[in-house]
Amino acid sequence: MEKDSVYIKKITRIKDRQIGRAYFASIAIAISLVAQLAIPKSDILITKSLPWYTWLLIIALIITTILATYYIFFGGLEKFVFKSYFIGAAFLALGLYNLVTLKFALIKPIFFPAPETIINVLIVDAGFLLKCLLHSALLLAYGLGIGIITGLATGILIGWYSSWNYWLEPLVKSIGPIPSTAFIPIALSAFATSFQAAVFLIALASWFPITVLTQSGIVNVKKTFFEVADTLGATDFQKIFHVAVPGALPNIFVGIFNGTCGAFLTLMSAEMIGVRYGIGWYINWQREIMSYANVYAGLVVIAVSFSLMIAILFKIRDYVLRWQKGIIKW
Amino acid sequence: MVATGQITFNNLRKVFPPRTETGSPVEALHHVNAEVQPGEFIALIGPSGCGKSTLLRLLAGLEHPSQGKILVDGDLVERPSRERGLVFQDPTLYPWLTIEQNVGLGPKLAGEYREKRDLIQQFIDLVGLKGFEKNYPYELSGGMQQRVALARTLINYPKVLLFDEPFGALDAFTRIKMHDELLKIRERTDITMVMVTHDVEEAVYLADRVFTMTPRPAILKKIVNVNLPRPRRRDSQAFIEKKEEILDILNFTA
Ligand SMILES: Nc1ncnc2c1ncn2[C@@H]1O[C@H](COP(=O)(O)OP(=O)(O)OP(=O)(O)O)[C@@H](O)[C@H]1O
Ligand SMILES: [Mg+2]
Repeated sequence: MEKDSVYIKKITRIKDRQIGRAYFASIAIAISLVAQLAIPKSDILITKSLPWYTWLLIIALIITTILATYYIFFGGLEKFVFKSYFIGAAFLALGLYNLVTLKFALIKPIFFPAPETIINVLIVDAGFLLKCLLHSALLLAYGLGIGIITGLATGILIGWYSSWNYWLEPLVKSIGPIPSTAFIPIALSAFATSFQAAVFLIALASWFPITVLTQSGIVNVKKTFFEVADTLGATDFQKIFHVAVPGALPNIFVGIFNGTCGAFLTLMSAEMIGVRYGIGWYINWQREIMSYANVYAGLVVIAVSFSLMIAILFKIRDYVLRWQKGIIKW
Repeated sequence: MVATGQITFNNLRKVFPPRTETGSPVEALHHVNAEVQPGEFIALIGPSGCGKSTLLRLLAGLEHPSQGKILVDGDLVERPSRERGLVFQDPTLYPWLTIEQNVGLGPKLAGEYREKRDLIQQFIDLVGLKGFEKNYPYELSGGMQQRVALARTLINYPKVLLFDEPFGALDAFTRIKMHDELLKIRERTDITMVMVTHDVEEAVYLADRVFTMTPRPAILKKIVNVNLPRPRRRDSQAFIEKKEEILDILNFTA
């Protein structure tokens, strides 16, 4: 009897699991793989065949199948199952692109290289791409670092002190909205090196949103929070760092997100125009010499590293703002 | 030890400037004169909008009188100070600080957080929140939050403790519990307390004297001595009579 109910429970639990959804990714990848193996390459293309795309599909197929099977038997992995449709659809789209390019050559091969060619660049050029990426990351780190520090400082000054607000706010309001890319020509001639110019431009791009959101965050902190601090013996200066800034943190993070996006945009533009290194420069250079596979490879690198950066930023925010749980729904 | 927390209201007047250009100034307090003895518990009661919160904020130093002055132990009240703690109706805990950090904020601002760790724990225990040290305010009920607010103020050993309808947002059951806790704390600390309330029963249960106020411009209408022995019983004849006496003053005598 006891045993029976446990058994029934287990059965229903397994039945509850979404088998179809879990395996969707694997099936989609398998379909792409079959298409890749069964359909011959278009004979317009004279490039030699590369194994990378096939390998990618095989590896993806193995991983997704293991995950789905694990889920069916042991549960857990909800996040993978939830994403399964998306993963499958992404591979189907890639498979379709593969058909259009490699298999039937329906669109201009020079502008639209096949997946295997793009992957090939990622592998062959990995070292150089990494160097470019590090160079860009360094620029971004300097620029964003300076932008965050100066943005916080300006935001606190104009949000807290009315005298600073009087003098600085008009300046912020007039310089801020100008896209920092518009300053590229000036910056390139004003600074000794293009590296410095780029750091300046990136800092400028992130400074504005961080300033504005820090200020509005501080202005919107509940007045009673300051009054309580007063009756607890806080000095003016203590009220800034114990009340105003923590209270403004949710806004400050929005500012940092906007600032990061602005900084990234500026970085890419700066690299495409004047800076002689970095991932943006790489893309532009490859475009000029018409190697579009390299352009796409560069884009892949940018997409992956940028979303990684944003993901890390989200994690930091979630940790710093953990006290907001239950107050605000993200 | 010399008893501290003596308060003098001397010809106190507060006029708020008009809110709009065409509006007229609001006279919230009109020549208030009164004395509060060290260790006394005063309840301020009166119709809504009559100036009770204003009086309390003046005493805290958050507003400045238009005329007259307030003295605490002979010193003029000019600005807020940790010697005059204030508890609002809304607990206004800092949501980004844990319970422990909220209670410890006063010591922290004074640069004594480390030395006072034990004291912080004592005050958390005192208000019955042992075990919640590391929680954030959103994880606590309204009554618990209000107790944290109380501990946060008490830890500074203020001479005067001011309450603006501190239990107004609590249910009747929690409120009665809070009354007894507050009286227990008072036995141990003999701080002067001034509490604004709408609840006549609360006033009679807690206060040594009840200050009744009239609507604008507010004057102190009458001071009622609640000379009932403690612990007070809410259902005793004397208690009910005291309540009616105050209600009469508030409602019928114009
Ligand atoms: N900052 C201010 N500016 C202008 N008028 C004010 C200000 N604060 C209070 N008042 C006015 O002063 C009067 C007294 O307000 P107060 O808040 O002291 O009343 P209260 O007795 O506490 O009322 P309640 O019981 O509703 O809390 C009201 O008419 C109010 O509109
Ligand atoms: Mg009030």
